[in-house]
Order: sequence, then structure tokens, then C-alpha cells
Amino acid sequence: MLRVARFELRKSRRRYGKGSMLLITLASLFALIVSYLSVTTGIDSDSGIYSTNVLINDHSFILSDDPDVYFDGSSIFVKKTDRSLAAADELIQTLKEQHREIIEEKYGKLAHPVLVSVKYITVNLSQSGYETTQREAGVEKGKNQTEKKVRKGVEVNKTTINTTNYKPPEDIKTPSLVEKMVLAFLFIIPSYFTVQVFSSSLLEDKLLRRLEVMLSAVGRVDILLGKLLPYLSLSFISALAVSLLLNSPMAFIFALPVIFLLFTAQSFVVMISRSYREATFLLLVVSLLITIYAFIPAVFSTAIPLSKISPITLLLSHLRGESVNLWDALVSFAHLGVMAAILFYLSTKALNPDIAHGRSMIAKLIEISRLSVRNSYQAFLFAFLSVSFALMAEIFAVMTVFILPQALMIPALIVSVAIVEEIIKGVIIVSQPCMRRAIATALGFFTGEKFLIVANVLQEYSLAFLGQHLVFPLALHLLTAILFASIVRKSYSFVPYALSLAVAIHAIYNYVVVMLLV
Amino acid sequence: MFEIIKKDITLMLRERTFASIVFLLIFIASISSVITFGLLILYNPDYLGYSGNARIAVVGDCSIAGECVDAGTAMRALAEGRVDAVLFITKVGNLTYIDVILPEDDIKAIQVLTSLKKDLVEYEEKLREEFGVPNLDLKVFADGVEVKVPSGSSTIFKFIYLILIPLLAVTTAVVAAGLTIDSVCEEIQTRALEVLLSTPLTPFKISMAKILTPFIFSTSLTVIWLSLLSINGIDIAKPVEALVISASISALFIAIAYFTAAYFKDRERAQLVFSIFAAGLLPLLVTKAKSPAVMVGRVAAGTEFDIIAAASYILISFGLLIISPILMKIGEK
Repeated sequence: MLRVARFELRKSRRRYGKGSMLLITLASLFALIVSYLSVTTGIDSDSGIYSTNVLINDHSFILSDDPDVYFDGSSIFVKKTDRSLAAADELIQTLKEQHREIIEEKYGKLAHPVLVSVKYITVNLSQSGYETTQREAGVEKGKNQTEKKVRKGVEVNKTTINTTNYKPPEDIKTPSLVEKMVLAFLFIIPSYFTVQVFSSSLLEDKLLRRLEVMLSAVGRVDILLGKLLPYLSLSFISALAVSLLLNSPMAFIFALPVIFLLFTAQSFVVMISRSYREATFLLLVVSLLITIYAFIPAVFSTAIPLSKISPITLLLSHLRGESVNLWDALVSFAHLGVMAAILFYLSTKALNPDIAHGRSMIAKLIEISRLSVRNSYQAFLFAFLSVSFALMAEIFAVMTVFILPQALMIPALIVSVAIVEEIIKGVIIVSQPCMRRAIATALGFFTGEKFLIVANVLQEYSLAFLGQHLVFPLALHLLTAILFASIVRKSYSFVPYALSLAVAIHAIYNYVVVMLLV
Repeated sequence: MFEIIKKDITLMLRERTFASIVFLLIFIASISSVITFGLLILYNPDYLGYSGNARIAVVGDCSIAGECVDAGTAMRALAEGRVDAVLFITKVGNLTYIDVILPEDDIKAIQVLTSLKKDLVEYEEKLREEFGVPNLDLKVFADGVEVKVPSGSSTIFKFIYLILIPLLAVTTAVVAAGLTIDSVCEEIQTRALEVLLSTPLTPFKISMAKILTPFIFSTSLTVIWLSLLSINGIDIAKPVEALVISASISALFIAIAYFTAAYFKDRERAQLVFSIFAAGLLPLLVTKAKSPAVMVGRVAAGTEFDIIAAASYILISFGLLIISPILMKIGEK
């Protein structure tokens, strides 16, 4: 493995000579300067995007004879268009701010007769009373310095809360994660570049058949690990550097599962791609899906408990100084770790001249399945572990059906869940469509689903994912798996029909359960 | 030359390249609703639809809310989850100071603060009236009927036209540039270029084909995502102008990618240098009103844009694209 890693480093050293390094440095400098200038000169993309009939002190508005909003001093007149309503919303906010400035200037402190300070406290009950740990809400200092001196604190059973920041009630902000989200990206961004170089190098070795030469002397796992090691190390180091820079030395640990998944997913894509073109697009899709999956749940961390499935959500909690529940961390790391491990294993199986060159994507997947799952025990294990992929796909399904009208949301989700689960089971069964394989796969998948319930991942969403029953889901998984296997056994050309039938039965079952429960 | 363009396009269709990128665009468009919703939650938690009042224990001055309790009882109730928040209220002259104590739970904080903020603003307005301080009373009318403007409408509008559409334009250009690099480097690295050069095709014709294929591809993609947005109910005020400006971004990126690929002659270095360059340009492209990507959004929104700047971009980009195979021919000794 280390020999392959050394070979990879030597190859990179030869390729990135002085000329290339100079150009890369220049491109990096250009990127840094342009990014810096873009940030420091501010955002003006919305300047003059709306129009009014009167001069408004807001850069979003310009004067127009045919304005989006008409203001007569006390009322606002709008057209029934999205732009006009958006302009009215912006105008109302601007007028509120202007009104506030006027009354603050004219009436002083009386402009804000109510002043609020928000504090977050962890209260622990004890026999003698309770203990509190306090976190101040992030607020601006300034306006109320004089008043603050008047009130030095509120006495709470021997625990003094320092009241330092007060603001009018309209300024109360609910917890925001935007800034922390930007910080979280800093951990991952360097890895996008290293993973790109890694996938390019691996792809080149594959297309120029260097991997086949290596295979004659080194094992599959050693080749892939050796190729991964230099780039993975670089990514880990960059994440650690960001951690140290942010004065949060352990924060990088939360970024590692995402980075590992990025690398292994790209390895798998490279192994199944037939050309540079195909690889580029698939790599783009995969990177985007992983980024969305890691970061979007974190956006909802204030609203959806399932968001803790993403290590980025936990990273944000850690950066906010909150303690991260060990079980949450274990579940989250295991979820991404299992997917990364499976993809790594499948990549080593795909590191095969028969799979690497030629053949259609479907044929490759069947061959990889045949090489990876050889008996019923492996089928059970794969089905059990692949629940992680099912969860990921189903969360994406939830996000995607979001655009549909409300009446279509539930049916679309039901069908999506059925498609995801039957495809995953089908991939495991298809290489050896027999009764034993079907039963092992169904049992493995069912056990995986129950494990998610026990691990509390789906506890609050069991209605959506229909995992709260015991006998019926088991019967369903057995029925669809056995049906799929019996049909495909006759001919591989029946795969689409077998899959459609399994999906239809699964969807009908889901629909009936939802209708009975709701 | 047209044979190479035909071959490249056929390969793209056979390898499902086109299908995967269309899937990607549709997926981004679908997910954008979730992202918008997420932003709205951060901006205005009312969108989550929380209703009802928070359970609150009040300590100190009870003129705002009913019954008061002592600090110990209130904090114990908070610790036991019997109340969602504790308010310590103190009056100093005409001013009312309120300490809101919340449990370390963001979800609960959103629920409580949403409910509390509404009540406290109303109380503030009531006190202002008592002290003779005027409150702002605005009414909004559409077609002579009073309407309620949904809070956050401007955020959604700006997100769609100033972030989502510019990002789609840039993504299309980046994908086209990636395709250019792959197409050029594949011919060089697999030595297919030597075979092509043994045919009547000249280096200029081969180079021209290598930039025209991704350009045709990106223009088709732009038509698709503009149509998808329109089907999704997003009004595209000037589709032709939006298409031309978006195509000019693709033209610029394809030209730069072509130069990079022709210079390095291998995919790894060309993609890396181009990625760094594109990553640096991205903040500029989505933050400035005069950037071509933002202009695509502004044109789509039917709002004002700098016509001279747009015309200059179009001329420079298309000019650079057309002369790139003349300046640097792949396969030329």
C-alpha cells in the first residue's frame, strides 16, 4: 500500500513541475484576490431591483413612472405580481426602519419602552435546588449602555445572570446558523480540490490501463488505499488546519466522515465510468449530492431532530460551544462511515479489467453485485448496511417532493420510498436470484430498518418511513424480494417488470398503512 | 469538423452525460425549494407554522402577564419542562426590562421567541401610545382591496432571481467548460488526436469542433432550465435576453477551459487550474449587479440592467470563443 502511495507522490511530483506549480499558484492568487475583493466591496446584486414612485433611501429601489409599488405616504398600492409583492415587503421593512430612526431621534428612550435580553440556560435539577449554565444570545452592544448600569443583574437562587445586552422586541432574532454554516464549508472546501486531483489521477490510471499493470503485483485494496492515502491525508490536514485556525481543535473530527464519503464515492464513480466525459458528470452529481446531504440538514437543525444524522449539524453545535451527544455522534459517523466503507469495498471489487472497460452501466452494477455478494450471509449483511443508502435516498425524496402540491406530496413520497427500497434489494438479489438470497436480503433490510428505530434515528418519523410495525414490514419485504427473485430467475430481461411489480406492491402497502394510520 | 461535433454529441447522449446533467439541473431546481424554505426558517420562523402561546412563568413586575411567581419556582418549572421560558421583568422609570430565560434548545427557542416577539411588540406599541409616541400604521392595497403582504416575500424573490438563476447560469458554464477540458484531453491522452490528424481534418477544424460541441450543449441546457423554471411558475420576463447573456458566460468559460486544456494537455492539471479559477470567480459572479450571471437573473426578473455592460460581455465572450482555436490549435506541431 505504501509503495503505491509513494508511486502516486512521485507521479504528482513529476506532473506538477515548476511551470505547473507557478500557474496553479497564479490561479490560486487570482482566486483569493477576486474573492477578497468581492467580499470586501459588498453585495450590490439587488441594487435597483424594485421601483417606486417616490425616492426611498434603500439601494434596492429606483424611481419609475410605472413603479412596482406606489406609496402615497400612508398606504402602499401593489400589482398582483410576485415582484410587486416582494417590493412591497421590502418597502414595508425600509419604512419601518425609517420610522424607528425618526422616533428614536424625537423621543429618545421612550421610542423603545420595552427592552429585552435573551439568554439560553442549561438547568440541571439537584437535590439542593438546581444549577444553571448560561449562554448569552448573540446581540449587538451599544444603544442601552446607560440603562445597563442601572440593572446589574437578576438574582436567581444564588446564580447571578449578568444582564449586559438589551434590545427592542422587534430586534429579537431566533437562533441563526448562517455564519456557522460558512465556517463549516471551510472544513470541506479544500477537500473538493484534493478529491478532484485524486479522481483525475485514478481515472487516468484506469483509462491508460496502468491499474491493470499494478494488479499483477499488488492487491486491489492496497492499490486503492495507496492511491487514496496521499490525498486523504492532505484533506485531513487541511480540515485540521481550519480547526486550529478557528480555535476549535477537535472540530475537524466532524468533517472527516464527509471527506471520507466524498473520496470513496468518487473512487466508485471512477471505477464504473467509461470515459472522462462520463466521469466528469457523474463526479459532479455525486459531489453535489453528498454536499447537499451533509449541509442541508444542518440548515434545519433548529427545526428537525433528524438533522442530527449529518455530522455537519453536530459540527455546528460543537462550534457554538454546545456539548455533542455521544450517541448522536456515533449514529451520524456510523451512517456516513458505513456508506463510505461499502463504496470503498465496491470500488475494490470494480477494480477489475472486465468491469473497468466497456459494458453498460447496468451490466457493470450486476457484475459488481455478483463479485461483492457471494452468499446469503453477505446478502443479509449488505442489505442490513445498505439501509444507510436507503435513508439518504429517502431524505432526498422528502426534499424533492417538497415542490409538489400538498395533495401529491404523500403519494409521491410513498412511491419514492418504495422505489428506493426495492431498487436496493433488487441490486443485491439480481446477481443470484434464488429463494435463499431473496429471504436473506429481505431479512437484512428489515433488521436494518428496525435498527434505525432502535437507534432513535427514525423514532419521530416512523409514520413517514412506515417503520413502526413488526410483522407487516417483514412480510412485505419477504413478498417483494421473493417475487423479484422468482421473476428475474427466468430471464434478466424481466428485471424492469419484476422491479415495477415489487415497487407497485410496496407502494400499495405503504399507502394502505398511511391511510389506516392517519 | 461537423463529423467530430456529431461524434461528440452522440457520445454524450450514449453515455447518458446529457441525461445526468439534466437530472442534476432538475434536482437543483427541486432542492431549491427546500433551501428557500430553510432560509425562510432562519429569516422568519413563522413559516414553520408554529401557533399558540408559549407557556411562560413571570418573575417581578406582572403588569404584562397575569400571575407572578418567585424566581426559584419559575426556574424549577423551567427545569422540569412545565414552562417553556421564564421572564424576569423589572420596571425602571418608563422603561420595562425583560430577561427572557430559555432552555438550551434551539427548536424550543424558535417556538417561544416567535410567540413572545409578537406579544412583546404589541406591548411595546401599546406603551408607545400611552407615552404619545406614534406607531407606524401601513396598509397595502391591490386592485382597491386591502391585502396582507407575506413577510419574507422579498427574500424569496431575491433568492430566486439573484442567487438561484445566476447559480444555474454559472453551473451550466462550468459544466460546459469541464466538457471542453475532457474532450480535448481525451483526444490527446488516448492518442486519438494522432488518428484524427491523419484524416483530412486540420488542427483548426478539430479545435473548432472541440469548442462548438460544449457550446451547443450549454445553450441547449440553458433553454431547458429556463423552460423548467417557467413551468415551475417562475416568471422569466425576457427569455431571449437571458439566454444570450447566459450563453455568453458559457462561451467565456469554454474559451478559458480550451486554453487551459490545450496548454496542459492532461485532464488532471487542466481541471485543477480551471476549478481554482472558477471558484475564485464565483463570489464575483453572484454578488455584483454588473456581473453577467446576476444580469441573467435581473433580465429574467424584468428589472433594470446595464445594457452596455451586457453588450460588452457578449462581444468579448463570443469574440474570445471564436478566436481561441486560431490562437491555440490542438495537435499543431
